[in-house]
Amino acid sequence: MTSSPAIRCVGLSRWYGEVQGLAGLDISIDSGVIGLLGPNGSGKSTLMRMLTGQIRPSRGFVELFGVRMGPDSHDTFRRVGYSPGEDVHFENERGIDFLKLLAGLQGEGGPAAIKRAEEALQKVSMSEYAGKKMSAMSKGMRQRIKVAQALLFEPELLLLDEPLNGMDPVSRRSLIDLVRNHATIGGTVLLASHVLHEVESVTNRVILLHHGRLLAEGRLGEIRELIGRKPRRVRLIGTSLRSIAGDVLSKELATGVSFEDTGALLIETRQLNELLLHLSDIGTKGGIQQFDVEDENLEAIFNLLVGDFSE
Amino acid sequence: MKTPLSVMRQFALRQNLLSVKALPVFGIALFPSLMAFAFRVFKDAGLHSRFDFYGEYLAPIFLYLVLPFFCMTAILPLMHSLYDKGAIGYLVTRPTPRWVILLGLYQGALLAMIPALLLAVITPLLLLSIGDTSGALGGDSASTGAWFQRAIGLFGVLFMGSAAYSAVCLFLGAWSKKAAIWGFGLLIGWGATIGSVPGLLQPTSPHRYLFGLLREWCGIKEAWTGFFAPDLDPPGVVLSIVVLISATALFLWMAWRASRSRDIL
Repeated sequence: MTSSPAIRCVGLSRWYGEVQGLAGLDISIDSGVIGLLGPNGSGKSTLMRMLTGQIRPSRGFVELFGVRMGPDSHDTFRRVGYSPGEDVHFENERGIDFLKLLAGLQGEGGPAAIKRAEEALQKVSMSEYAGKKMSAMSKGMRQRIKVAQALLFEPELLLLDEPLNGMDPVSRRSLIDLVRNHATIGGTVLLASHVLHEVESVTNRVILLHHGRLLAEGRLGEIRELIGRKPRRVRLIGTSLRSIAGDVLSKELATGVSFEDTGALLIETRQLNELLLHLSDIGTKGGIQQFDVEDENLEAIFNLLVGDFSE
Repeated sequence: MKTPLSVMRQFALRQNLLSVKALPVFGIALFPSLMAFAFRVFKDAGLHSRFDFYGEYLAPIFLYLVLPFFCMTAILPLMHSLYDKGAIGYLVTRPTPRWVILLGLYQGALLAMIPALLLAVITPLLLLSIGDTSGALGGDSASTGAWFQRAIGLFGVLFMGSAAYSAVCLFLGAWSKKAAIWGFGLLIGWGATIGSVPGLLQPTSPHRYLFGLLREWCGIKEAWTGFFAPDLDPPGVVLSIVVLISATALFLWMAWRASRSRDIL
């Protein structure tokens, strides 16, 4: 093992014309799970792409395991698994073929590539959908495929950009377990999310980005205190939503429920953890296909941290 | 033995041959057949034999129109699906050099073109040659050997042209979001048009060298499309091959350079 940190950014900046994507970011990450938290447009995906050499810095540099990242730093990817924020646009490929393709790019072909792809699919509970075309998969399934491809070669460093988006409760829980296990065996995970709760369920070490700037770095506990007990909203897609609504109201896990025009159920709660635990128990068997926490308070917290009390 | 190059080649082959992306390419491939069919049915060019029509009219049409659109429809959608939707991010974050990824895509797309090229060359050949007993009005019918020699030569020219123009398209796809506009400008403007108009710029266009091969391999001395003046000093086979291979290599290198400098957003 090298003594260089898994991730090191020095004065990392990036402009898109006049818009600043990242501004003088200095971070160093050794091991464990670190949450990269920030609202949409805060620079999380820009940072992820710069870490993987897909975007060149306007100023500063990025190192992974002591190697300066750029378009020619492909060898470093033997130690890195990256799950992009973008959807998997390989519509014509079957899940297993997509993973075999990526295993092939890592120099593994034939039965070895198939075995590796199957193992990765198993880790994200997608074995039974291995032969399904990407175009026929739900968003949650494609999310799991994205994570599976990052896990293909058991990398030391996992870079996960919004990995929990659109996942069903059971998949969320298994991915969270998987990320924790990865850290337990000495790996490093950088998990980007705009949902505070998601990050909180995995780690309490966070990097907060806002408008491309490093706002704070450290423990989540202090930030949670700022949130207080303001209500949060959970958006559910699935069947039997009316009975789920009645159920959470009767158990006093919700302060209110409403339905969107699309048929999705919105639950307002002050007991987010308890509610999510309950929804996980209901799971897909109870009719939940997907849920997302709408963490509206995050922007407010960021505003507080930057001293912007305008709202 | 699977290598990253062969894996990418198979991926591009699969994408271009076994998906809806194949339909436009095969649609373009059928265009000369429609012309051949119309010629045979309406015989409006009664002054010419079917053999001459195939060589001196259809073959130039292949180079002016079919070949550029062929390459654009084969390469640009593939590159668009990878670059503009961010899918390339899954490929370039593997321990494989970017030139291997691009070369694999290029080779796969080129191989996927072969069935459509064969369709484009053989179907008009069959439509025109079957039952060609009367030959030209006032001339002899061409032998089967002459027909096939012309078809094989035409396939060779088209393959050389596909290699060069596909490399141009690969570069454009890796370099620009507006690859389709650039592709049209370069392949139709610089390729087909400038390469056909006598002048200082003509020798810079691959098109002139494709015509050089067409003359030598297919025995076509005149193109009676009436659009452009004939090339008074056509290049020979060796020069044409050297220029086309050099152009292919140059644009592949440029594609690699572009892939290194373009941000994946």
